[in-house]
Amino acid sequence: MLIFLSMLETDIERQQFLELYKRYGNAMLLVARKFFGQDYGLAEDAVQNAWTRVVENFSKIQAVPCKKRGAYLVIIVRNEAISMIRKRRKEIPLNEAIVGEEFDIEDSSQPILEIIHKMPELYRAVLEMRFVEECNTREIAKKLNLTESTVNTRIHRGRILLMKKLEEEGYAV
Amino acid sequence: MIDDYILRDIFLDAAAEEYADELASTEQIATSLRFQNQIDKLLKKSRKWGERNKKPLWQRCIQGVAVFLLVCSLTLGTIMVASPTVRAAVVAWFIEWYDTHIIYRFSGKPDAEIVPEYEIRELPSGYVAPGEVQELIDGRAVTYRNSVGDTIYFEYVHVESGSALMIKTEEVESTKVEVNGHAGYLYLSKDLGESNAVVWYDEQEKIQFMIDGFVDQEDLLKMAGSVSLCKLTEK
Repeated sequence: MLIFLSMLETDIERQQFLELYKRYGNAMLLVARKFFGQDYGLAEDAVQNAWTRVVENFSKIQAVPCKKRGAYLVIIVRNEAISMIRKRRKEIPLNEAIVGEEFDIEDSSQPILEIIHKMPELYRAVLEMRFVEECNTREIAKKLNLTESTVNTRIHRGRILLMKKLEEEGYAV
Repeated sequence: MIDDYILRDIFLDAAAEEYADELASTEQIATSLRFQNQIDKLLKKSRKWGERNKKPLWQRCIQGVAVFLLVCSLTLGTIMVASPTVRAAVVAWFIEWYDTHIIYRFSGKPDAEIVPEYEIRELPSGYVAPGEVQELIDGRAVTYRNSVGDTIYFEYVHVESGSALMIKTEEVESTKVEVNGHAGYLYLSKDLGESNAVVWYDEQEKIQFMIDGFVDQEDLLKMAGSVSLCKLTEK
């Protein structure tokens, strides 16, 4: 992480980073622990990795409204945890590698936030990595141990279906 | 795309709702000494490194899946596929190769607990000894400085299971080297804004050494070769 902090060019950026750390560091640990049970070491690793990503993407975080930055950090650490879990698996089931977890939201009458809450973790991770973290397909595929084709399919379908849902709920799109 | 920004906000709102308790929590989380040490180093050193806006090559972290195992031992040969019996007997030094970085990861139970004190005896011209010593939970870090503020960072740690060192390899040339009979790697940056580093492992003492600085290969290897026990702790 020392490498990346020096990439924060100004004292203001470094101060902003430190403030983020003080404010949300504990929350990130709590979120990471949800994924690793009693293995607090792995949770700490996920948080460490997440802070590295924070610095790498600091300009994107600065573009997020202040009140939403906590959620942004939570998403980063959660997806780091999912990525670590995926990479620790020795084999990825064939179906999952090619098809992935399918999730049909077309018939759902629930509000869009509820739909997102109920999405399978991996499905949601793909969409969050694209729309929130702005990762490209290759990065997402590598982090989640998926094929690029699977990632692209999910993003394409996810975008269409969620936008349709947003229109139904009266969001201006 | 505007749609993507809308979706970003929706996912952020969903996460804020789902993790409202965690985000609002004021509970102080107990963390391991290892984690605290890493964060302390991060927060203390970030300003110093940031002041010069230059990037050290290395980073301590823990990461994913071992690609292959390298057990460094002169008596056993350069590369050995370890049997479970052998693996239990030694601390294994895993090297994980990724596109953009290499991670040295350690696994096993070391025997010794006390880390002796080491020093670099042949520093490049202008650098002052003794350096500033920082005690780590599993070793020591020594920072040597010259009159213009350049630093040489010397760290040695008693490896334990789970500890790791990450070296960025983008725009870096890595070369196998031998330091006082121990296998290691030299990392030379093609980017002048990044430092160079040498890493080696003493399998007998179960200590990993690293020297990082804005010095050339010759100076790095000379320093590495001169690393010795401090006179007071010599056996």
